[in-house]
Amino acid sequence: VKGEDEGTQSSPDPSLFTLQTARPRKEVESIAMENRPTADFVIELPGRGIQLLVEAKNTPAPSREWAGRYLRNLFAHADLPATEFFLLALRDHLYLWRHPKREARPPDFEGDTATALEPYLRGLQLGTLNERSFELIIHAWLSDLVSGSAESEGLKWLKDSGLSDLVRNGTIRTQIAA
Amino acid sequence: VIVYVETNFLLELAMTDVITSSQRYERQFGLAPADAVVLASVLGHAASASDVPRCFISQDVKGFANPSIYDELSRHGCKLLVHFGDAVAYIRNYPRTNG
Repeated sequence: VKGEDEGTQSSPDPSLFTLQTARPRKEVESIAMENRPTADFVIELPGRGIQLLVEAKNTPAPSREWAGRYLRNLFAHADLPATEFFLLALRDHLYLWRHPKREARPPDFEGDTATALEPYLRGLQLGTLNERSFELIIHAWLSDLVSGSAESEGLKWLKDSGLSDLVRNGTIRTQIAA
Repeated sequence: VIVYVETNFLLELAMTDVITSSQRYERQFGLAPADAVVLASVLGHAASASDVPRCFISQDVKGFANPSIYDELSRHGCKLLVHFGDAVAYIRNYPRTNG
């Protein structure tokens, strides 16, 4: 019996979209993407494939080990493609793995969610946001990250990991409704 | 064995206390409102059900990937499964207690 640690099948999800966010946001467009559940956001570079997968959940993380279990569950049950980095964006932490794999291991880098999202919150508390609002704010932050305009103060982990340079001018595809 | 299957009928079981619980689960686990109602329905019934093996089947593989949801269901003696084949195997592992 396959439980938390096992399982590889996935079901179709027709609500998939793609956004070209290296351009101004007003010009973004949504087109159909392959219909299998994957991460909430996928960042690709032309000719270099997927660089970053992002899963956004507005829930607190009890520990780094718990985050490792979360990643293992996603790899076991969703359809996650190979990627350079995986970012688990949670209410209190941003956990980043380099070359993520199915086994549960603590993240390689971590940052504070409120610090990263502070320019977008304008006084709002992350704990008061619903899931949809949280995803939209993560999307806005990712958009600025790939365009190189995200504020980097207090986000040393972004530089240390090489993520901010890696995804520059990337394309964001997303499963969340536009 | 009690088998909870995530379908629309579960939503029909929703009562006021389930809705109240679902709002808590929505924030606690970062669930979509509909998923939170389903989880609250399952946990609400599991808490009052007799001490028999039970499992919750959902094909929303991402919605319920949160390890804390597995832990919460486990505290109520309920195993979360994402494939019907696994549920069949789970049921066959337990002998019938009646009939």
